[in-house]
Formats: sequence, C-alpha cells, structure tokens
Amino acid sequence: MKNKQDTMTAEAKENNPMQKKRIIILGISCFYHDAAAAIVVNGKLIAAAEEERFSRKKHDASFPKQAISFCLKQCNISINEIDYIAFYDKPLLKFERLLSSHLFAFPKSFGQFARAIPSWMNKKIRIPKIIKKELKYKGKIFFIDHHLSHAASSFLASPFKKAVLLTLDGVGEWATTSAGVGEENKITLQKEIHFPHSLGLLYSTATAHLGFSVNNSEYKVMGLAPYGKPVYLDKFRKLITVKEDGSYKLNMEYFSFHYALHMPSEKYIEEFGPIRKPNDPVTEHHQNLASSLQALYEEVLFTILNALYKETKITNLCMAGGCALNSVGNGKITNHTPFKKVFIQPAASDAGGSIGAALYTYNCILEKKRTFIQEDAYLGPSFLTAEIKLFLDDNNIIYKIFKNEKDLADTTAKLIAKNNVIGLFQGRMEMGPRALGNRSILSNPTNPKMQEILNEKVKHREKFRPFAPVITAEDVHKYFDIDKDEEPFMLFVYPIKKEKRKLLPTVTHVDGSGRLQTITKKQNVRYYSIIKSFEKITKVPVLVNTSFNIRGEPIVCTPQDAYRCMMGTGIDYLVIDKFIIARKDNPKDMWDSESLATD
Amino acid sequence: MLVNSFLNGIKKGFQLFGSTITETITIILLFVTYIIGVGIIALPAKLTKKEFLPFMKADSSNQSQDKLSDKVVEKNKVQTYWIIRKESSKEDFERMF
Repeated sequence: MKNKQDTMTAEAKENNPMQKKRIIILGISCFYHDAAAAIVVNGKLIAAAEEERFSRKKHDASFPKQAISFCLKQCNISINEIDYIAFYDKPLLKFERLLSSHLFAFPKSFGQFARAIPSWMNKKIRIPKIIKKELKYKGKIFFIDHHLSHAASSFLASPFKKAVLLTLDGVGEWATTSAGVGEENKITLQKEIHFPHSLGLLYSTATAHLGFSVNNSEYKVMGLAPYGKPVYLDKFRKLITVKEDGSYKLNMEYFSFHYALHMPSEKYIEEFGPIRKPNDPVTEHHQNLASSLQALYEEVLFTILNALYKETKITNLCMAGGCALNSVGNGKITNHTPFKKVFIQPAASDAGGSIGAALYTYNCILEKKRTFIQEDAYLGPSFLTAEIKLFLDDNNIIYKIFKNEKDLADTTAKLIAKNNVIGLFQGRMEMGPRALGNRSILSNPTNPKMQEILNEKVKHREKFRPFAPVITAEDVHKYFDIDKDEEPFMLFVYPIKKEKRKLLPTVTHVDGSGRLQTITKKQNVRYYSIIKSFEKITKVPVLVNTSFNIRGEPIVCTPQDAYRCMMGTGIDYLVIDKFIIARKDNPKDMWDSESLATD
Repeated sequence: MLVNSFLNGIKKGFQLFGSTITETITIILLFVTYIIGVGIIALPAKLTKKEFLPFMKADSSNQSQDKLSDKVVEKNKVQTYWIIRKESSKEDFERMF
C-alpha cells in the first residue's frame, strides 16, 4: 500500500482547502528502558502507552509494536495515514558517547563493551530500518535529541506560555542535565551538563550501593530517606562539585559506571561501606545513607533552579527526565526557589520522550501553534462494557452488576470502609508510572493496620515504603500544607497537617508527609464519587491509592490482567466497569502471585 | 516414549552446545574488535593525553565542605561546567546525529 507521504506532503495537504487539515505524528521511544508510543493529531495528544503494559514485562525496552498498534487503533487510522514519525533521541550521538567512554576507559571496559555492542549493532543504530520493517512505514522520521524530547514533553503539555525548562536524568546522548527556556511554540535549550557528570547517575549509584535495582527502585531510596538522618551529607558532598551557576561535575574517583558493570567504585565502597545485598536487612546506616543522598540531591537541585531563576527571572518551571519523578524534591521547589508554578510531565521518564518527540515535531519543527494542555494522564486503552461482560461470561466468573453509578460509588465506599482492598478498573489506562484512579487499588487510610494488610495481601513491599493518598481537590487545604489547589498527577510530596496525621496513618509517612493526588469530579467522576461516598461514611475525603499490579509486574492493562491480579493477590473485590467481582466467589481461579514475583 | 525422550535430550544438548559455541565465538570476536578497534585508538590517545570525556580531572574543590555554597571555589580554573548547546536547524532533526 502506498504511504500518504508518497502522494502528498502534510504541508501541501494543509494548504489545500479541499483536504481535511489533519497532521498525525507518531512518537516513539525504545531500546533503553520504558519503551512507549504516543500519537499527536493536530497538536493534541490523543493516545500514549508504555509497551510494558501490553508485553507484561516491567520496563520493557523493546520496539513498542503493541503500543503503536494501540495508538493507531485509538485514532482509527492505519500506519499509512501517519505524516511523520518522531524518535526520542539521536542514536549515533549516543553511540559516539559509548565509544568515547570505551576509549577513555580502555582496557577496563571490555565487560561493558561486550554487553552493549551486540544490541547496538543489531538494533540501536538501525532505527530507521527497524521502523520501516516493523511498521511498513515509508515516510519521514525525525530524530529529536533526548533532552529536547523530555523538555518538550513537559513544556508543550504545560499550561505555561513561557517557562524555564530543566531536564535531569541518567544520560541521554551526551547530556545528563539540560536547561533552557520555552516560549509559545519555541524551545531553546541553552546549556547542558555532559556525561559522565550526572545527578541521575549519582542517585542511581547510591541506589545500587543500597542494594536496590537501578532504573527501577530509586523511589525506594527516596521512601527510605525520612527514616534516617543526613549524617553523611558532608561525605556525599565530596562526590560532586557544584558551581554557583548551577553547573556541576562528579568526582569520578567514586564512580565506575562509565566503564564497569557495577556503579560504585572501590573508593565509594571504602567511604560508605560494603554494597548491601538485596535480601540483607535495611539498617540505620542504610537509612542515613538514603537520607544524606536525598539531602544532597535537593541541595544540588535547588542550586541549579536558583541559578536558572537568577538568569531568567521567569517564575514558571517545567521539568522532565527520570529525576523529575523525585516527588520529595519536587514538593519543596516552591519553598526553596523563587519559582511559583511547576509543571512536571506525568510520564517524566523515557516513556514520556515519545510524547515530547511528537509534540516537538508538531509545534517546533512544523511551527504550529500550541493547542494542547495535558490535564490528565488517561491516554491508554479502554474496554467496552460488552467486551468486559464477554470476558467474565466466557470464563464463568461470578459477578454482580451495579444498578447505577450511585450504587457503584456507595457499595465500593462501604466495602472500603469495612477495610476491604478494592481493585478499581475503569476507562482509559494511565500513561506514566502512577495509577491515578483507572487502574488503582483503593483502601481505607484511617485504619492503622491497613499498611500491613495491603502489604500482606497485595503489595509485599518493604515496610519503610509509604502508601499514597488521593483526596478530593476541594478538601486538600484542610489536610495538606500545600501551595496549590490541585495536584492531579501524584508527582509532589507535601506535609500532611499535623492535626490530621493520626487520622490518616496509612498514608502518613514517618516524616508526616504524603505523596498526594487530588481529584475533581470533572477529572474522574467515578473515582471522585467513591471518595465522596467514603467521606459520607467516615467523614474523611481521602483514600489510599496504590498501583494495580502484582509485585514485579507492570500496572494492569486489560480486564484479564486485572482479574488475574486480583485472584493472584489478596484483593477482596474488583470493581470493573459496572461489574463487581468478589475474590471469595471465584475460588477456582485463585493462585499465589508471590510464587512468581520478582523485585 | 524412551526414544522420544532420548531424541529430545539429544536435541536440547545440541541446542545448548550451539548456543555455547555462538556465545564463545561472539566473545572472541568482540574481544578482537575491542583490542583492534578501541585499543589502537585509545593507546596513542592516552599517550597524547586526549580527553574523551569532559572534566575528568579531579578538582581542588573536592574536599568536604560545610555548605554547598562553599563549594564554589574561586581558585578553580574552570568557571562553569555548563556546556553551551548549539542551536539545531530543522535539517538536523532528520539525522541520527
């Protein structure tokens, strides 16, 4: 079949009044971690999803064929109708960095070389061929720099006309930190810090040293930090030199990630003790290390941000990149810097690069006006009531049907108030690492034993990790010390008001904080109604919201995944569309997910 | 049954043997590539002190400090670690580099 590009370019089509003005751009990110696809139609983000949700492999980095299929299906188009594909980085610049590292580290880097080169030869430098082969696409492909994709994913989805842009992650091509300004549909990244000097890799090195998995468990270190004291902060300061202008460099004597398969160097281990093995107990020493690391991260972040403000005098800030998921640091930005408003892309990691690449192509390369503000993260697949019913009937699953929305909200709230654990599955799946009410597990935050119950039944998390609260937006100031009215993406941690902490033991972290999500009726009517019904029973407009997944697996995507998750864990009820399923009613499908769980 | 399981065992054995041989040859080839491809450039470059990665030399300011602001050491020769980014043209985005 002929590609649309062969017959008429997008620009020509737009100039032709007989043609419908529609420019469709597919954004792709893959081959490192969190592969994803996003589709932008006339500048509006229509669909986006991570490949892991379909393949069921956590952080799946492979070519996102299933995510792309979903995006095309969501727009009801074929690949031939795509005008442009935007890839989220420049592979040859990354390859240059890789070779430079090996040249620098020769002959110490053979292990890393042997591990990396085959995938580079087979996939990473053959991206145009892979795209053409996998998708049968013959049109133009744009390669947007990694940090530019991150910056675009935040600024071009934000409500700001003008903002300071800061992207922070492990590493892109060469850049590990980039700063610039966005105005209308123009993004200018003016300066960057280059590999190996990386705040993200510093955090990951400490994560590896603490016995947690890199590129996956950095949030565990963040959760551990409030248990300790920053007694090693001075020692940590030896790892990094920061200038007044916010630029920094690492002291590479402490790191080996640029040539070896392990991240902390011998000197790091001499300074901070042996690497904790994953099953070893977490001691006070580890807590203090986590606390010191988090304190250092915040110091550096605020130094960079204060310098950027001094330079630009702009009070809006957009952030993206893996470090922008450090919700503890994010929650302190407005108190420690002159920035007044902060927008962070909810899919701030590499998955969001697909969104950024597509938006950048539309707004900046094609020079089209901005028409999009991201107000929610419900960008993934949804399922029809009939499809769900068919699945339930075909599998002889015993269920009940709610009479109406009020019945659904009231019944669910009653079950939660009785300390049941509920899986809520509705509407479009969330894009990004957070479950925000469509693929969520809900429970009672007022029960002091709920953390234990949730861990025993479902999550099997380390005890030090807190659960997160969701609260109706109109009540947020009654419960949280927060400087804004809404936080729909669960990307900021704020202090819970002292007088409310005892009321919410499950979601109050040891330092009295909570990583909250606010919700309005407009954003998610069913989710909001359940909280309101819970409030009628308990006088508390707050629920525990945690992601709907089996430990070590991605968040559920389909009704099958949700049912399997409930039956493999101790979730008591699954509220799915207008159906409710009790686990105890379906003993034939029970299994033990922990027997297969990893991480 | 017995024949089938014997044949399956043989098949699995050959598969294992094949994958081991493949891995070994791959490692040998990669080693040769590493020595010839990387080593030949790296060794003379090291002799001429070429810097492949930025700011790799230790700074005089890498001692413990009480406050982060103290780390802004005037005596550092390097004034900033920011690297100014070149502005890209539209054509740049059509390239993989």
